[in-house]
Amino acid sequence: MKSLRFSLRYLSKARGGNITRVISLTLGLAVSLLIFSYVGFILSFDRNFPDHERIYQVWTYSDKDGMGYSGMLHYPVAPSLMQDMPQVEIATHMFSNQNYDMEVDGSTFRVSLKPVDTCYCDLFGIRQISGDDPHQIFDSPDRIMISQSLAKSAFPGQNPMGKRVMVNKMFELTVAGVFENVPLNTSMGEYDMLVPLDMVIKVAGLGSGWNGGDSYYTYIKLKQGADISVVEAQIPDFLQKYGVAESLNEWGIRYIFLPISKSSFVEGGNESMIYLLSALAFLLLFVATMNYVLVSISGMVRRSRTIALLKCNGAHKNDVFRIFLVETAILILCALFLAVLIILAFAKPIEALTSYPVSELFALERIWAPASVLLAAFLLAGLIPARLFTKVPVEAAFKGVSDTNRRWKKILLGVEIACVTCVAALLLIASLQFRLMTRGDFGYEPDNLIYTRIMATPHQFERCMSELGALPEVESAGMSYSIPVYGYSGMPCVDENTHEILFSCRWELIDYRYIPAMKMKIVEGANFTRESSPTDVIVNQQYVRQRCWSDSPIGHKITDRQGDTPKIYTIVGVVRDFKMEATSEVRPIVLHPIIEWVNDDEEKYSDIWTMIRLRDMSAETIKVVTDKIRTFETSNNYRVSIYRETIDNQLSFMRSIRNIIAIGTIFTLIIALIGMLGYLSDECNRRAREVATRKVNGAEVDDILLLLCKNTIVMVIISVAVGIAIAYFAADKLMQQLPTRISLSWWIFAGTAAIVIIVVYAIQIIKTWRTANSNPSGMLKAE
Amino acid sequence: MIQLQDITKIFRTEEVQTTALDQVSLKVESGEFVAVMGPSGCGKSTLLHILGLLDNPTEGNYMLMGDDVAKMDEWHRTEFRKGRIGFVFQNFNLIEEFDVYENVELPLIYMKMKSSERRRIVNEMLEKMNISHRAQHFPNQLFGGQQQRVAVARALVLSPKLILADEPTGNLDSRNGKDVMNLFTELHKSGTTIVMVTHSARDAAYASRIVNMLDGRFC
Repeated sequence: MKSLRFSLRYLSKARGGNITRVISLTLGLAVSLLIFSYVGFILSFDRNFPDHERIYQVWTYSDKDGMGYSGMLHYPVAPSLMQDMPQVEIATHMFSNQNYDMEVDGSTFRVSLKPVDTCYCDLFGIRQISGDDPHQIFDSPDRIMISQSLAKSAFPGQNPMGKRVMVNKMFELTVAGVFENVPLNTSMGEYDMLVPLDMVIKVAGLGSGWNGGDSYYTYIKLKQGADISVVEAQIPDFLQKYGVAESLNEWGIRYIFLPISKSSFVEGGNESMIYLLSALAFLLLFVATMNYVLVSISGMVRRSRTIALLKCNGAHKNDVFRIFLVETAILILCALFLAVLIILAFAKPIEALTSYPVSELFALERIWAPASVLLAAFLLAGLIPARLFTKVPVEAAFKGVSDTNRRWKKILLGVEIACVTCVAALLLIASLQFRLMTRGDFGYEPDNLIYTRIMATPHQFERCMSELGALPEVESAGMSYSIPVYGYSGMPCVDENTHEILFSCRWELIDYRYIPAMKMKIVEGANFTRESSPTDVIVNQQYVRQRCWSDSPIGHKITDRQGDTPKIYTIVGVVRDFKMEATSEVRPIVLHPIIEWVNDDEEKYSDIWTMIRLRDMSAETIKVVTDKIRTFETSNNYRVSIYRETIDNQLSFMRSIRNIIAIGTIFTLIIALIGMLGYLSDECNRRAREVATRKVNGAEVDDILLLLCKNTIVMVIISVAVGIAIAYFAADKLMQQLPTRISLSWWIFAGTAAIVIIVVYAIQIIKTWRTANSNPSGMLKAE
Repeated sequence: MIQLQDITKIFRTEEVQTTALDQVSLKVESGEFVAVMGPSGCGKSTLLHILGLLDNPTEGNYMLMGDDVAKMDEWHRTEFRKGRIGFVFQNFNLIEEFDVYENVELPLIYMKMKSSERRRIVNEMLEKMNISHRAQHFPNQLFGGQQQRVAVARALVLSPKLILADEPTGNLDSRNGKDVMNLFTELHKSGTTIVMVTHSARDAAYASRIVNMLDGRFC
């Protein structure tokens, strides 16, 4: 109690130093609380499911051709695992979430639907609020479950059970159940509607055997006490039983069972980014607390007499220690209050930055994350000054103490400069990396491009394309089965003579207008024409490189042995390499003419992407084109997307990381600046007499500036070097996990070091300028 | 009360070694008022620090109130000081952040006294020192003489058997200085042992015994 009283008394008197300390802590806490809560949120993914520790996702993994992990498995895997493995309690599989428009009584809602099987709700413990047995719902052709929030918005004040909804203007479905909203921290993605998987398979014509259509995310839940290694040990026999062992072995593919809580970290270097963010948050917190320590130690000379007096009057070291810990606790609480205000004030930008609501990031069940930050701040900030203050000798009551903590202060400032250098270098690297991903060479021109999906017959397609092409706003338009940012399906590239699999390549269907519309470049041979043969193919440069042909690839035959009868194609052109997904590296690609597919059956409807290159990207132009598309007599509900936005959405995680690092860097810089100004003030005061004496003896302003700057040169150089070394080490480790990455050139680090040194000395010169120009008699008198 | 025998205090730095006290011996009886005089740097303050258990001697024996205190660690020295030794400083050394009442209350807090008991004792002491009307004032709102009265009140609040004063009138004008010395005389009469370091022969004249120091020795 007395410690609290003493601390409050001191804090109420010494406002200046306290404000500085609270500002440092507030800035540090605001950002590190946010980052650690975000990290805590990401780490909590998929831990909400009941018995999540018994749930595993089944992956395939291969070292070959950078295939890595894939969560897409064949349809029979889930039911077969449940049937054959006694350790498996239940297994489920699902198709990826699909976004469609849902119409209810004339109102349209954009919904995300998840195609699932009858075991989904059981395995994931989805809580049903009302409705029929989920087994029956997902066994039916047209019954669905909707989320609580969709039920509220689509059927306000009504019972949604039995209501009919129209999805994508094609499917009329009946609401047969309502489920509790699924938390945001799940790798299942946000969804509003659960629909029967078999219905989707039927409508979309997806494969459901062991020989194709590996499109299903598969999960198992082990029985209580069962060991996953026992399941893994049975997999070779399991695959043998279903006749797929040989083909999987050929590709080096094996099944991997990963706990569901690790599912979010399998792809895209997400785990590395989490480490990077954690390191950044810790650095920031460290800088803020070291700054607090620096300011506290700076006030030691002034406070030493008070401490000595307390000791003279009976205070033990423990009493002094406690006073400073209480003082730190009070200031941290003040800083926490201000940090919370900052976070609340910037809730909207934070939500935009992290893609999650602030209330979710700071949810009570993850209170350990902010609590750990506060504890770390308390220990880092409180212990060092408290320990140093207990060492104030009792004699200080009689004679005061001289500033013996200069070395401490210099070390602390050095640590801050090292941290600033490190985060500044990481920011530069993250920005360059992000720029490479968003603005780098895609191999085509992603700007001024919009796209939509059209379901139509070949005749209707032709009419659509010619009408679109006739619009003055449209530069060109082309059709494809997929689009580059969504990625393509894979197929083996086999040696025509030995039939040996050489590597994995991707395939795509395009029409003859597609390459010009995408502004891709044919580097050899020719583009498809309206009259191209279905056996013509165009390959990319990477494909040619991997085939290692000594002559021109044009005219070479390639074989597709996937079906019952091998198909032979002839290469007619080579397209310049282009990126598939925004974050992936260049892969070998084979492009087929789409005509083979759409002409299969003149009356058959096909779902085809239409890429439209506009002359300009204005809202008016997009509206004109969208209006035109809506006039087409096809059965789909058109929704036009901007290609650049799709790329940006794919990179939203990277963008968030880049922006968080930027904010962290700015905050670190501000905190370090506060510390530096405090240090320089102390130094100017301490050396005032020396400066005055030198000036009296003929020193000029530049001599004095040099004298004051020389004091820190070794510390600054060492700190910058340490900061650069840490940044290089961290960046090198992290970049190895990214498929497309910038090279860590020396100029990135040299530039960062130069900028930090220039900023440090600019501040130093500005700050010491007044001392260097002061009247020496005034300084001597003051002394 | 105090028995110093062959006390030596050496201060060492990386480059030099300074002998502040050189085999000093001193005996102070209970109820004595001893003034220690000498030029600056002769070791008076060092002697006072050792007498007040603020520092340990490098060599020698020190018996205080019947206990051997020469080799005590800081925790035991602090415990020993509590309630037994009061300090009065030249520059008053009041805690700026505390008001008069709190400054005087400070030693009682560390004696773990109850709040009501503390209030009674502090109020009595403030009355006795004629500063109760200034109880809520902070040190910077008081004159020098008033500040020293507060400092003396704090030193006396636990009725210590030994008062150690370091130039107690050094920062006071002659009238206030005289007041403080009269206070010490009254304390001396009531049986309190006082050891006072001073440059002032006038102040030393109030003492029952004067010892002189030069170069770390009594002369």
